[in-house]
Amino acid sequence: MTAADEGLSRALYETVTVLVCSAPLALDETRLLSAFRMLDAADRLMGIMADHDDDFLRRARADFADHRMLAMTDQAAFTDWMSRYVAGFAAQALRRTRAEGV
Amino acid sequence: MIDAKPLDVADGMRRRRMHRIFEDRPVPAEVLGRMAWAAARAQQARSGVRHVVVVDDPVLLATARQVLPGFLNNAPAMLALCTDLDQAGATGGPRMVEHVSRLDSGAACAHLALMAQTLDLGVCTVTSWADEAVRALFGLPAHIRPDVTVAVGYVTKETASPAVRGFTSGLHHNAFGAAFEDGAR
Ligand SMILES: Cc1cc2nc3c(=O)[nH]c(=O)nc-3n(C[C@H](O)[C@H](O)[C@H](O)COP(=O)(O)O)c2cc1C
Repeated sequence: MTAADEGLSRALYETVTVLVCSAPLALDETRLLSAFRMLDAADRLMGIMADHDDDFLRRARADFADHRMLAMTDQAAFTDWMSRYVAGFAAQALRRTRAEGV
Repeated sequence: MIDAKPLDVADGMRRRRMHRIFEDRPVPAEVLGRMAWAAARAQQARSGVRHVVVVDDPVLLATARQVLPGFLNNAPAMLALCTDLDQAGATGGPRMVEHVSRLDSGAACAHLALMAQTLDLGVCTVTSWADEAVRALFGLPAHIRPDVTVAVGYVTKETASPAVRGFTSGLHHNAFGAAFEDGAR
């Protein structure tokens, strides 16, 4: 295993831990906070991928950083923002699949 | 000697806010000791119920960022405020265990938020985690319940996020629903 592989493996392991430890909170917190935890884990995964220059992911991370606090302060605004965030990812997925082929 | 600034209490209440971005530098043990003292000085309905775990081991903090999903900050230290369930039960019964001891932990959080400001520190109250994760992290025995973890670190004007607006509390006069008009806000 190269040092880069080890670093990647370690970062992924940490994110796996975040996801597992977030799971029981879904039973005790609001559904909106569960959604927040999933986006937080996704953000950590994007952070791991940040080495690979990807403009879309960089903008997505900045967008999450700008709006994450809404989960605590303005739940309706967070939900609205999340819809736009998801629409952005869906459109990007379509572009990628088209470009890469199935 | 700890370099502490005087703080007007009302000013400290007005400025109080949660911090999620901290400076990298560690918080010296004597400063953390001062914070632990502030937590211990908060109201406590019975003796021996509160336990404070002072945490500054970087390994524990790095792990906390994985196993405590609400610990969304880069603090170099934290205080875990816990309740001895056996002691609470023996000295005050079930209500002490389920109700009163949690109030006491909340009061300790308020003390920490004020004391922090005299030491150039900031805090973030964190409760979004599973008890088992906190127990495993700090080796808490079964009769010690983790109530709240408080992130602690140095903050500056630059690291502080803007104050959260729009959080309200109900205020009533003599009966629920009757407005209390004091004019002094
Ligand atoms: C009891 C309690 C638990 C909290 N739990 C968390 C938490 O798990 N993670 C977090 O980042 N903030 C947590 N917060 C911080 C709140 O989100 C914050 O207080 C709120 O956004 C208002 O901001 P302010 O305290 O700066 O005015 C908690 C606050 C309180 C009082």
